[in-house]
Amino acid sequence: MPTVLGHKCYPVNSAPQAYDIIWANFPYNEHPYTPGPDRHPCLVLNTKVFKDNNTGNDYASLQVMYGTSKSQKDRLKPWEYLHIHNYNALNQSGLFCETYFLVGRTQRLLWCEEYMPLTEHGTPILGKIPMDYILQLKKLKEIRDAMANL
Amino acid sequence: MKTPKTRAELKFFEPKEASDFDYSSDITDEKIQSMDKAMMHKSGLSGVELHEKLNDGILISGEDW
Repeated sequence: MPTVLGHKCYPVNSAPQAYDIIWANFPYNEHPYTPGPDRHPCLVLNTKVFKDNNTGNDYASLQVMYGTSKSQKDRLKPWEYLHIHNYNALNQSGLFCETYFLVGRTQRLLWCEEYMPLTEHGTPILGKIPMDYILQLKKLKEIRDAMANL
Repeated sequence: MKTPKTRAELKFFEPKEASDFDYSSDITDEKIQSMDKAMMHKSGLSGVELHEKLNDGILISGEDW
């Protein structure tokens, strides 16, 4: 497993694709070298690949949207989150309970072992959201972009 | 050291077992910042340098948000 940017990066061919759900472990500020116990599902928005100029190794980064099972209905507007809740969608996504993905909380992460450790299934990838939710997500992006231009 | 399965090896639509992990807590700005700081700390890069290293690659899936 190549070390890139100080991290043990996973091979590019194992990287998630857009609309996959992955687990990410958030470190504590006090222990930035180790994954924290706070594990959250993240929705992958896109994947980029790179070549490290120093080592020649390939690596990948993911732009993700954070998820939580805490209800956002009383906190956010309906266009500010993607709510995955029906049985088939949860099953296909690999989620255990209804989950809210927050449009306003995205970040780009390295595809690496430290913060996305393997689960018992041999990958941090849990599943992929169904097509109707992908279309909902695209609509949310359009709304967000339109509101930003107001 | 184990590496993740390749995409071709993944089997979606399998029933997942209930997880012991609780993700009911909210995502806070502090958590986002802690992940940012952790990646900067370990890579030895500044925030701007790390941003470039994570963003300037070739898009292979999805669209920029």
